[in-house]
Amino acid sequence: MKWIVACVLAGTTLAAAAPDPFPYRWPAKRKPPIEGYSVESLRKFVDAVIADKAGRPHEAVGDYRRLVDDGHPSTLYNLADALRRVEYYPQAIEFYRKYLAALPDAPDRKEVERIIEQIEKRPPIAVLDGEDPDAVILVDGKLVGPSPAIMMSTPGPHIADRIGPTSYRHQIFSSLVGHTEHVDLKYEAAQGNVILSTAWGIQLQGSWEDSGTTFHLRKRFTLPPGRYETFVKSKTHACNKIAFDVPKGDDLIYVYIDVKPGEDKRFCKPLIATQQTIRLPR
Amino acid sequence: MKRAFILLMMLAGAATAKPEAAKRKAAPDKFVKAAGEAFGAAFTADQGGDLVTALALYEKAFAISPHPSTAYNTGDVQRRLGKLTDAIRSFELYLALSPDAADRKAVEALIDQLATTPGSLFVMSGPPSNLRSIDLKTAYVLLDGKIAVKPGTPTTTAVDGGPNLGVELEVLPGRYVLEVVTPLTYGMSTCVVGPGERRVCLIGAPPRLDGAVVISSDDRNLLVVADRAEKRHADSRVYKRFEHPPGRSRLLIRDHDYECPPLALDVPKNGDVAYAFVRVVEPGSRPRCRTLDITKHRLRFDP
Repeated sequence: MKWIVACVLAGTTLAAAAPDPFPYRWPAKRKPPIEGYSVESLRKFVDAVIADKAGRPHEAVGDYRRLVDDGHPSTLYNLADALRRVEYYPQAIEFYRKYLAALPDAPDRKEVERIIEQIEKRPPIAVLDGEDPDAVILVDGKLVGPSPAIMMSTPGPHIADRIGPTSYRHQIFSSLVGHTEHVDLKYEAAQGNVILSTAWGIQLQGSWEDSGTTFHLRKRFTLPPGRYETFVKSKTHACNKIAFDVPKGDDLIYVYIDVKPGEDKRFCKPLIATQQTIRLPR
Repeated sequence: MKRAFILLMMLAGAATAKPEAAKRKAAPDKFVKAAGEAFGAAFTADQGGDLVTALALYEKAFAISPHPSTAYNTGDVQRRLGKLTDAIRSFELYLALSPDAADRKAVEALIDQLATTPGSLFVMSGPPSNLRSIDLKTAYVLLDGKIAVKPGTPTTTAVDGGPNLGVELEVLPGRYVLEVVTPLTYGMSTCVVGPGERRVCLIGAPPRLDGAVVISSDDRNLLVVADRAEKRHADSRVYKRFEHPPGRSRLLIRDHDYECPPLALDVPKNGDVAYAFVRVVEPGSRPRCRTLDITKHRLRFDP
């Protein structure tokens, strides 16, 4: 869990100048009941405030929801605020908007509109996990950390690789602004000391034989220690050679195959293979 | 009490107009008038020390016509009657009704003080003849994963003179997972203690439960399993004592649909018990495994 906290904090540091990219961490802001509340509604409102202050925001959400039909702006605002802090962002935005509709001359209209915009445009978050313990996760060929991992992503398609003691999973996922994506990298049994992974858009696939050795893309397989050079072949193209070393020992060799930044990946372009050693937790 | 005079004047609709320009206010409406009368009677009862009557009259006044001062005085009486949870609610009501109150900070500090007033839990089991009674003298008693009582601690009689023996624990207000682990068995219960309250918490267990591992949590949605194929809540090892191969081991934790970091355990083989309490730091459901705080103990028992 320390890893997750570290990743989240690291993400925050990167965006130091911008507001905290995680809206649920913005402090609570509650409005008092202004007028028009019945005694019964007031009591429910106070119950919600007490639950919220006591660290039970979900309970507060339930209490406020029982009052929303009254249409009081303070209830709508406080409900939106509590929903934001429990990360129910679409509902939070809905009730911020209802607050503005209920109070067209709201003195804090601009601030509320800014909150809505910041929630809608928050950076994409990827939650990557799986089923077996002691796995590590790589995204776009870079080691993120032990599974589960939470990271701030960039919009667009990405490649996730999850490697466990007896498993390997390769999966494409897409990140969208204002969304949290759960990338569930389910268990797929696999053994071996080599993985040849590919970047998104690389249209290479399958297995091939070269100089008596069989290579597999996006699979985990075993090779004896040594240096390997091989053509990576697509269905129609023979691309350039890639090279990697398999050392002695228990470590796993992870090779990530991509083209130069900006190159069209649909056709065979000069491939770049980046090798790293993965030491799984023991 | 300080608000009494001002409020009575307001509720009675007292005019403060200057003599040269008579601008009399209309008579108070029937609700304000009735509330003022109830408030005055409450005030008198309060001064006379009749707090129960004062409370009822303040509540009546508030129900007829809500006013911040009535809420405040209600809370003040409830505080003196020892009804701290009700007092907190009344003081919050006061703050809600008068968001610009000059004494807001003082009232907020008072609420904090009341909310953290310790209460007590009297932990007891049934009489020895009861099938599910636990011998507390041989037991570890744990509250939210912390060892509150070790084996050998003497038991006492409840303050209210009940027949059963138990142990008295001073605790902060809150909801607690209470567990008892003995050489023979394991029992679990949840107990809620309000500010300043004294609660009796009864705990029982089957006469015999084998196993060298006990896993617990403050969140029932958490799933702790030994194998990834175990996915149902019925498979979860939370609130259970169970057998597990001795040595280092890793159990899987799942929070709703999300994987959590595994729970590492060192399982003993000499009659001791490996105990772990998984506390969920963030409230409610989240789109990920929530932050967990894990407390572990080796509960040692004489062979």
